[in-house]
Amino acid sequence: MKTLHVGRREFLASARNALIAATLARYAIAQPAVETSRREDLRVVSSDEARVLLRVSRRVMPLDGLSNAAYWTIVHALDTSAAGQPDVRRTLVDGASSLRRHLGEGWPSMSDEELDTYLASPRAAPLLDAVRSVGVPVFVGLPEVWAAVGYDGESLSKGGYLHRGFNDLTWLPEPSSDAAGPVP
Amino acid sequence: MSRIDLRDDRVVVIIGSGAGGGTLANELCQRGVRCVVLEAGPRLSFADFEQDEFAMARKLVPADGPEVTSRAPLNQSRPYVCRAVGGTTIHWSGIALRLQESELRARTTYGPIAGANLIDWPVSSSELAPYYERAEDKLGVTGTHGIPLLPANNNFKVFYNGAKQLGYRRVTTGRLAINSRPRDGRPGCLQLGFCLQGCKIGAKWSTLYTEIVKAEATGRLDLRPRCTALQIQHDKRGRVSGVLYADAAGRLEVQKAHVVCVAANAVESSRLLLNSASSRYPDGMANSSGQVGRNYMTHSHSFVMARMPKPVHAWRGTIQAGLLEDERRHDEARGFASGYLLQTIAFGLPFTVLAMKPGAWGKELADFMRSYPRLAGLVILGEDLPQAGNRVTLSKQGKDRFGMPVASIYREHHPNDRALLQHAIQRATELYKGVGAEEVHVQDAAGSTHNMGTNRMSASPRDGVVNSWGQTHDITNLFVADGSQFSSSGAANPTLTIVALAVRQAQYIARQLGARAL
Repeated sequence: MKTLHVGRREFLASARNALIAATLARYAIAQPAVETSRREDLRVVSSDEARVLLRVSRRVMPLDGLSNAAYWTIVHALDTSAAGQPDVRRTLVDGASSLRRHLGEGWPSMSDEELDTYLASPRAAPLLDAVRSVGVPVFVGLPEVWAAVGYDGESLSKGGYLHRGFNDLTWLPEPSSDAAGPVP
Repeated sequence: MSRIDLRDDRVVVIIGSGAGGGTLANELCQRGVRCVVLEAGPRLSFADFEQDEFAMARKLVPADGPEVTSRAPLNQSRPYVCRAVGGTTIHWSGIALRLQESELRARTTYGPIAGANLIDWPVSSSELAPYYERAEDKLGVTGTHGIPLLPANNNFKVFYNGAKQLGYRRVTTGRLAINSRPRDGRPGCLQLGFCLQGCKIGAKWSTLYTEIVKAEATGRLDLRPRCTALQIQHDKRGRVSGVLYADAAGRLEVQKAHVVCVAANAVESSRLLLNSASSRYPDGMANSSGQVGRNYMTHSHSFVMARMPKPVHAWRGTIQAGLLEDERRHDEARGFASGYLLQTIAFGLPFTVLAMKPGAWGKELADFMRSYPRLAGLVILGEDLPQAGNRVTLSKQGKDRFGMPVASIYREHHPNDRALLQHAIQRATELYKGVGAEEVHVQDAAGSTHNMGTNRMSASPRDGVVNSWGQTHDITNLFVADGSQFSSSGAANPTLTIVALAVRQAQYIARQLGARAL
């Protein structure tokens, strides 16, 4: 797990430097092992902070129809990151308290639009960066997210796509026979 | 599989087991030459390959890679190269193309270009032709040797129709080292997807289960996985005499050698030569020209992905079976030197999002993810001009776990690269718009897998590091057998050329050994 840890810190450092992109490898290394998430498993994030991070995660990655469990996975990834890296922990703690301070204790009943406006503001940038840079690589790897989007994941157990639609597109003409080989 | 004694100084020691090192080892073993291959990574099996982009990146790409600096943020991404037996042939997509004569004659074809350190290759396409032929046969490249092209997948259908309405003519599923039917003991492609994560059935060529296995069958190969070369050593006369390496347990050993061939991928190969500095070779080994580490090239890459009106499911099937070659030509009317290829590409959802939408959140992210089944995609592959300042040096601070300085890469785009990409992005956008694309996403590619030029071939010892055989100008028994030999990058994926050069180099080494000239 040590390499994962270093990778994530590197990623956060680059996000702070406002780098637009990191390598796929770096993202991949940043992706921690994902386990079933439970609130009581949190190591350093308080339950008040977790509530903020859960709602913020939903706004940063707002895919319709996902259960709370998917977003708890993100909160846990943030918690793991914070447990290993004091600077990440500080960003999350400060970010959660800043959100509560600026939006007031009635923030949970605020609309998504109001929350989005806050997240897009400069004062929310460190929190947004942390949730996005740790959360998105985890989010895009969740089977529940794949199902919601329509991505199949592994194909070997089903024999690949040779007989399951690798060439089933019919809304454009077929390429000529000198451009492609026969289906075996 | 044989064990070769550490003190045996009659062997060829090859550092790296990918396209260059793995092929060279087999070709030498077949010619009766005993080889030790030092490979820093583990020996994986098909069972170790996972159809999971993150898991395989963690298995294949070392976390302790080189440091990268650039003025452009995207250039700061690390090379995406694999540390395992088979090297980056586990990861490659299988595109197997020859360099063209005009590309081999880069300096002559393009003329002088400010800021570019262009030279011609000291070898011609007619000299390379028989070796390309041999390499294509070895790899089982579609469209050669009577091997059928791969069938058209959905991503190709969009690409093909878009290209045709623009008037392009040279559009095919391409030349791929992926079996379109069973060949050489390997099965035909099942359209699994996940080509880049290691082909689970071995339909795609990799040295891991072809060259290496065949070399072992000769009884002349001693393959040592998890053995990291640290320094090449020389004798009093300046000839290479052995390689200091750390074995799997971290113990330091020296393998004596009659000949040493470096094939550790361009960045690591130059690093090893620089880390092998001595009082006799104060600037690093084979570096009297000062060119070791310079002229680092990666190809000019951008991804273009289009949201089509109906589903494409581009990830279902071979991930790069689509090639457009019409723009691969030098045409000054386009406003830049050299040319480019368009190649279809499709990643899984995770890499698609991370590659195409870094930094996205909220609605932008969600909209893009929901559009994933309707995305068609391609990657631009353009020639990247050599620049002396784009180079690999030794880090002043960073050390690996053995205490050796890590590589430090500095890289900037040449204005020609930007002009080429601008043209290519425009054409790719038109290609997709012409068949109904609703939105086109463009993103510069990060993390090169094509690493070239850092120990380049040159006719004159002043201009480069090796001669046309990959033999260093300075030291007769020291060779380079990976992409770092490339004098220019051309607009073609480098693997086939690396393999062809390795076959040619093996023939040369075996002949020289036979004539006692090495």
